Amino acid sequence: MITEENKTEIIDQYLAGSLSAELRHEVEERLKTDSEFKRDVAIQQKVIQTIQRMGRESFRKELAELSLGVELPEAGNMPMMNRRPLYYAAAAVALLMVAGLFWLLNKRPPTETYRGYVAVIEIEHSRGSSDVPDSIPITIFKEDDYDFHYQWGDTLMLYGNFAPEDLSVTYENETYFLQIKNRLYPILKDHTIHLLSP
Amino acid sequence: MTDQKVIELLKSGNQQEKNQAVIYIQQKFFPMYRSIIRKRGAHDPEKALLHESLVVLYQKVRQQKFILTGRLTSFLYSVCDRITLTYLRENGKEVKKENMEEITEEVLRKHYQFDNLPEINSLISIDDQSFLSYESIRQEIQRLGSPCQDILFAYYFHQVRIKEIADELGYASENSAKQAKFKCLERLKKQMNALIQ
Repeated sequence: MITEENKTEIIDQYLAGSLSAELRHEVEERLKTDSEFKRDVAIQQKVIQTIQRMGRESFRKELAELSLGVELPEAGNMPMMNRRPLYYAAAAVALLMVAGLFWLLNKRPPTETYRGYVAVIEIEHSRGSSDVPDSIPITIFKEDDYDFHYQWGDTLMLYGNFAPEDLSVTYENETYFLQIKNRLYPILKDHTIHLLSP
Repeated sequence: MTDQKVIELLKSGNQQEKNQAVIYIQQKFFPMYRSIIRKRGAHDPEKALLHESLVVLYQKVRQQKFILTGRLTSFLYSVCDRITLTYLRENGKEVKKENMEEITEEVLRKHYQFDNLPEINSLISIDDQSFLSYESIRQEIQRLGSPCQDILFAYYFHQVRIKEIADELGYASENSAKQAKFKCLERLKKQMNALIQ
């Protein structure tokens, strides 16, 4: 059944042609009677089409740049692959990547265990606040002195033995909560180290 | 390189591997492309029709349900011929790369079951449609910034699965990446709705 909560996901699947027959029927019936829903579907389709078109434009630019260095074969000849320069280039890139990775790893604090993002889940009645970010960058440090603490400035830094897959952030009544498994801990964006407490 | 290997490289998500596959295909397919251009009497100094065939190939290969039933060059031959014929029907023999997007959209929709649903434009008013122009939506997407743009392009253009997006973009979990994608899309829709109202 289509609800306000699952509407975007269902429209997504409808537009991808991967909806079950039952839900597809429900979408098509609603398209006939609900003008707001129709507009919602149309906007989502336009957005997806635009992303795909922008992607193609970007790919065309890549192709044009790549073609500048490609030697194309004469008619009737077997395709020529000038492999050696490509391998040299690939080796040089790989070497640079290894050097870059080495530099990055050495640049990080030695106790960092994870760096990535968590999505911010907005509770239904709190939705609509435009200042709430979609995702928050997080970094986890294994730190004995500040076990189970956090500090939130540009990045949410967690100190302790956290598993990234157990974490999520929710926003409700103008307060952010770090959810670890099933427990909620309010968090403040004030650049200060705090103990996580429910 | 086998056809399967080329497809694997195109699907890998690694820019270097993708480039390697694209260069290989261009070289291998070039004599066929030239024979199509000669046969159809087109003049394509910038190889725009060759590039456009690769754009269609890439979009098709990235679809999860894509299965290659014959040889890759045979598939590409039919793509390139369709693009060339569609282009020549709408334009002159002198090929210009500026006019390619509409041709590709038509070929993808007509021949490759891409975005095959009924055009929903007819369901909304003409006034609303003008706010939903390519340019206005593109500007809103560009305003999103990273990581929102990265997620949406990975999911809708490169057709990467959410699990892989979570791994590649460093999301804490698959669910977190899914929530982020949902929020980015919701934000865009809200902005588009605000433009209309």
